[in-house]
Amino acid sequence: MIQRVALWIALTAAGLGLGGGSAWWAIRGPGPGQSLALGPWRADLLVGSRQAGLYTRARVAMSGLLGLGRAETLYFVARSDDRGRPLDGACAYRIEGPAPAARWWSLTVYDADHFLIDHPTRRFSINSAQAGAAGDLAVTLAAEARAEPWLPVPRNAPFELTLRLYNPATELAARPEALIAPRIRAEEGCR
Amino acid sequence: MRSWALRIAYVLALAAATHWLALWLLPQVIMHQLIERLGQEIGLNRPARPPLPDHTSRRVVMPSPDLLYVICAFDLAKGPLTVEAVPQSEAARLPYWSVAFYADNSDNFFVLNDREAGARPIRLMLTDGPVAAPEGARAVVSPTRRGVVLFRVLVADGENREAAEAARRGMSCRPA
Repeated sequence: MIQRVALWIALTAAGLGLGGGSAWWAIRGPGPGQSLALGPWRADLLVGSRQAGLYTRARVAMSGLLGLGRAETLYFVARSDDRGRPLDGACAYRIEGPAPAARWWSLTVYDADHFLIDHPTRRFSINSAQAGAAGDLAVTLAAEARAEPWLPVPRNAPFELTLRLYNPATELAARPEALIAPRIRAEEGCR
Repeated sequence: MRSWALRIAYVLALAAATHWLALWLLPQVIMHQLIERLGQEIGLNRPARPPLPDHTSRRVVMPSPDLLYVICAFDLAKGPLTVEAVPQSEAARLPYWSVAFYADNSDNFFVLNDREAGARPIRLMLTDGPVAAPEGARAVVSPTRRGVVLFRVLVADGENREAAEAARRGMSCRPA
């Protein structure tokens, strides 16, 4: 009798663990519902939408709460460089791309917990108002100060990037896959 | 053999139910925590105007360092909420602002930006059921009794910080 009870307790624990673990994996990793990939950039096109499914809502709650719908803002997140290697402050990176077709864009560095990084310069982002005359996106990411434009990243720690496109052009909001996403190239000598 | 098939089916069914329940509950729990925390710190149906986000801003993930926010946790149990943005003279120089309403499961069910609002002051009445809005106001029905109102005001380059702060002072929420 005790053996049977122990078996059912173990089976219940296995079911709960499997369900909870798979839900966690789906939220934290590249699970279902993440609908667009452009190189290292990922965008969930149903952020904030009533059409969002279970996975999108859960992922947004964890890493993008209170996001806006795609007609208002497109969010692209990158956690790796163009070669698929995780972004890490031990390396320096060059980000380059044409001006996105949006009323305003910004590129922000976040730590692995999705919060702004603690850096004495208090530089957390670069936006279209700070870009060059052509409005192109061009910035160097490094833990140490570099020639402008430069954004600091956490020293020897993983980080992620969010590209926000506020009021994207109608064509881009309808077809976000048409975006020419910025390249993320690690500099030579990166460990 | 049959009993093992039954046990495996039990584990898989329980796993599927747990998986679904965890995903369904997560946004509601996180929104509930946010609303409760804002309610305790600021009060429900009242606006909070936090400073420009930096590394100490840890209430909501992924804060934008380019935006000044006005956040308001609402509860419509005692009646509608009036949400106002009063464009001031400085507001004309603002590159962007918007107001967004979120249900208690995180759905963004309404958004209005400066282009859509034009130069006029905006007055929205948030309700949990159809009502006739007073003159000059626009009614918006919330799918849930509780939720969050979030204003965003862009501080593009530091030069418009003063105008953004001034515009933010005119953005508010209060019981109707």
